[in-house]
Amino acid sequence: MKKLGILALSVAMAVGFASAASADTLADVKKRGVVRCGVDGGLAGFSAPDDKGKMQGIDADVCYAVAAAVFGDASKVEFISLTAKERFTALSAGEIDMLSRNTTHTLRRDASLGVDFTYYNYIDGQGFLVKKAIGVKSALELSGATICIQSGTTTERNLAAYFRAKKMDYTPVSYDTSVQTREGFESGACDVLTSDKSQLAAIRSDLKDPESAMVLPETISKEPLGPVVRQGDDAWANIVRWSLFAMINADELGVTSKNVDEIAKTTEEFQIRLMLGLEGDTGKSLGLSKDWAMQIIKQVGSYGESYTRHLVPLGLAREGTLNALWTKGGILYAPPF
Amino acid sequence: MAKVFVPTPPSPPPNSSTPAIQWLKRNFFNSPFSIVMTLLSVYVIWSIVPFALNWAILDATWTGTDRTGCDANPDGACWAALRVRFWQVMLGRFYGANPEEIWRPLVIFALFVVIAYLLLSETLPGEYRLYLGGFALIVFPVLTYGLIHGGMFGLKVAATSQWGGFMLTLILAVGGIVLAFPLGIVLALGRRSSLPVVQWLSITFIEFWRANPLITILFMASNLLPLFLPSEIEVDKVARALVAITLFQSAYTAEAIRGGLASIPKGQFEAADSLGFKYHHTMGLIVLPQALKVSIPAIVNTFIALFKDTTLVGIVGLLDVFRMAQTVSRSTEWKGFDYETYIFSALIFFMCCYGMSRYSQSIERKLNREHKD
Amino acid sequence: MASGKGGAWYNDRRKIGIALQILALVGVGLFIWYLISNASYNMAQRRMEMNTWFLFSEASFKVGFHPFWDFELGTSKYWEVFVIGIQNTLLVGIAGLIGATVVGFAVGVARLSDNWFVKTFASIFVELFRNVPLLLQVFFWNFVVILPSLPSVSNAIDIFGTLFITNKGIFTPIISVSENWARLVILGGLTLAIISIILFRRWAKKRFYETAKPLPVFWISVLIFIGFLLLSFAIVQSATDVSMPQQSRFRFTGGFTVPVPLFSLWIALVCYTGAFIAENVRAGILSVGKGQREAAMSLGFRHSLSMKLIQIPQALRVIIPPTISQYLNLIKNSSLAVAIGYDDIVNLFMGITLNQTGQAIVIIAMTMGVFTVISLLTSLLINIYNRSTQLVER
Repeated sequence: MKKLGILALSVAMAVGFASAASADTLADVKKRGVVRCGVDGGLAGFSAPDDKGKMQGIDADVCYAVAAAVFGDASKVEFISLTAKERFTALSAGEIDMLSRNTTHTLRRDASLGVDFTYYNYIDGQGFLVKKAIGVKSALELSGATICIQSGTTTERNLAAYFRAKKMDYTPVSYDTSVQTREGFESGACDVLTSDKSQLAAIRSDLKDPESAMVLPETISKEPLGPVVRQGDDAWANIVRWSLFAMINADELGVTSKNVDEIAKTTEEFQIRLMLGLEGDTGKSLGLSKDWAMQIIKQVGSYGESYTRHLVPLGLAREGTLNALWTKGGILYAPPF
Repeated sequence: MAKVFVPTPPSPPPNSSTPAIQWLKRNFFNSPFSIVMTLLSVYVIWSIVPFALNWAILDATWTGTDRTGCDANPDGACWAALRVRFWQVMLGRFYGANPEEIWRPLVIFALFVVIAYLLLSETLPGEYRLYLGGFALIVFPVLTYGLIHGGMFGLKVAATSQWGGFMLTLILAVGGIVLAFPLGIVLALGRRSSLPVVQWLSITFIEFWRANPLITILFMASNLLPLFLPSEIEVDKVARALVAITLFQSAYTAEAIRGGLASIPKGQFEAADSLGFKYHHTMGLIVLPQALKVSIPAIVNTFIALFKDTTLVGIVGLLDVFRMAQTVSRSTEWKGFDYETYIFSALIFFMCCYGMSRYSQSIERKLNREHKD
Repeated sequence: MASGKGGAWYNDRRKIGIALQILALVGVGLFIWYLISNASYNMAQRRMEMNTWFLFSEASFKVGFHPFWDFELGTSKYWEVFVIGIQNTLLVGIAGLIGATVVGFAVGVARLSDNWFVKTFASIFVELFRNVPLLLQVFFWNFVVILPSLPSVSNAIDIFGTLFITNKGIFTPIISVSENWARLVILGGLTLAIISIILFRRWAKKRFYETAKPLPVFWISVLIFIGFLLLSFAIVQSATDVSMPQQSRFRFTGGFTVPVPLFSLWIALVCYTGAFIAENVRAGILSVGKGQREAAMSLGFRHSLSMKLIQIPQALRVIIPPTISQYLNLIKNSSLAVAIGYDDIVNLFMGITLNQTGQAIVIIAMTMGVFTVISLLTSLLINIYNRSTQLVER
């Protein structure tokens, strides 16, 4: 008799939900009135709630920028905290509209996960955080060390490849979340913790005694991090991509949230006028309002502001790194409007 | 010469010391081993209890909005940390950040307590309890979701991704057992069915979920559920955990109810049959009401196990009360106060689980008495 | 049961039964088909594909703890990770159930002690460990108690230069046997030891029934076991090699390493399961009629002797079945390893391997399959035990 119920249920489900999946994310987002953004939610500098519970960080800022572009209101974001394991499933299952969770762009992910990488908001690389007490100055001295890793990331693979190439040995201890990894390192389960360097800075600043640990100079991998969208919705991918480009271009053109109103009144520079919607209509082809980029800059700010707000306090200087603008020796380069 | 019977003299009366001394001797100094244990125990108590009392209560820091007070007082516990973040730990991020909305979960909690009391105590006549049970199973979950999630009647939206704390623990545990209950009844009946196919399907279902730890089922739900459902159905993290918990719990509930069914004497079935009852009447009116009553202690025991197991949702990224408490001692403001947060969450679970196990024992004793009468 | 002939078919219970069963099968079949069709549609949509050949490709990460299986980064395959995972789960499971049995019996008997303190402490132990979630206990033991209290490698606790306790693990010497004939000799020695223990116990029992003089059976068994072990190792001495832990820069190399998470998990499982077993033991002892104890007392048995010789042997029949299901729970609970970084099957295979390969369906099915097999074996064991004790009953 119970199976009758299951039968009825399955028939009802099969009939009721057999319609084709909607591929128009923008329309879905507008109907819902909020952008669902997948973030880490516990990683200082990238996405972590402040005292008032508001999500803060450069990853979170990309989400705010997209909301500002779509709704003209940066606050219309719902943040969903995801673990490294579940992030891609959440994206492809439609649980989130975009993923902004320090995610590395790799061929395997591009080709086999059904997701699209838009651009990079942070160029990172894997490094090592070590206890000063073990007296190591270079990663090449780490042979035989016990290393804490957060599983579920490219980190594990990179570490194995690096130690194999250098013919060194190690003992891994794999944890599930970044918080447990930190706890393992802090309580002495390992002498070395490996992760992306930006994360190492955040982890180090969260230690009970930050002075007891240091980051080694070596970088053992390329980790271009950036927002990710579902494959097959190019219009939405463009919106996310250009929201980030708008922030980077604003940085290059010297427009910030503080001076944007002033500049809008006085500027004669064509690129700036185009970006702020004073000339032409860049929003139309994206399906957005005319002043979409203006709203991003006003409410969220330029990439430089975002970086200074969230990453500089962690001790991650921008000058001289890959994350500086291309005009200042870095590789951050956004196409023109 | 005839043997003369000489009785052995009677043994002296028992030691004529006072009852208090006898009691002491019996309980503390009965044998050399007992004496050693008593001395050892006194020593242990002497060295631990004053220290613990001082640390946890007498020297503890109870007030303050930041850690300065606690840092100045390293020999005492820092309960101020948990006081400042109390609502966050109990109700999750949204309600922790919006104190003016706290009444919503509190109203639901009060209702829950009232309903649970009325259902479990015998103050209500049977008929009303049935109605109340229907209300608790159908209306109350909708009301809970509506009020806690909001989004209607002008209530601010608290997205499920912002749920957490003790509230989430309760929602998962109570939601899990309520959803698993009907499934458990069907499975228990199926397992005792005379139809071999139905029986084997039920056994397979029950044994599969019972064989696996909840973690693997949670992993399964978070990795496979989005694959096996149509892509239009969005199942968020809380719902996925609830699905996993329901499947898991339905197997245990089924086994508890099966135990109850087994205790119903065969005569009851035969009497119903001879009166011409159909299967669903026999079960629904005669057997199940008795069987469910008998299986209450077993169900409560599976609920206690489930209640503790809800902490595992932390591993798939939900913030239950234990994880929420942990975030306190890992935050920049309060880092390092690990003992406090562990003790706090252990205390919450201990009070709930110990209380429930006491309740289940008392029901069991009562049932045993009734059985003997 | 069946109704009279000639009635409508739906009044015939037998026919209704058959119809219901067909319906049930069709329903379940349809539901499964529905799930599979969704999965294949979704996977095609997301360009995922399901395969099992990933099991035979090289593992892209290193496994930290692989005591009975050699793991070489670059040559070992994913199926070997699976094997190591099972082996590590069974290792902590078996070590745990031995510990939990000892603790459970001790605490269960202590709860019935006539010393008030012992009784109370045992009750506190049981209620405390039973009513707090195991995950919390695992975290507490590992991150709050054990790791912070262990010294670093340079300050290792040194026990006679052979055993070193540090926060990177507990390092012990290990005897490795290199030749196959030597392995056979040791295996033979162990078999002989077990046979002689069984024979000795039979003889001791017979002697006890005849003379009423008890022997320290347990200790003599242990002695026999150790004796045979030493003897066989003495024979194969030339083919064995003792590996001692040597201090290197970051840890000890050589010897055998017990990882700290294994130790923490073991303690947590022993306390948690021990508390449940203690309750089984207590209930079992109480289930033995009061008369048995009183009879023993009136025969002049002391409390401990009456427990050992009269009450516990009878209680075992009540104690063992629920205790076996506690063993099963213990093995299932060992999956909490994932929280503290012990390489059990859930952490290694369902966690890391799943992330590296993305083969969710295959990996989850394999992992759940392992637990299902373990559980089926356990119920088989319970059934066999129940049948054997039923035969004893008169």
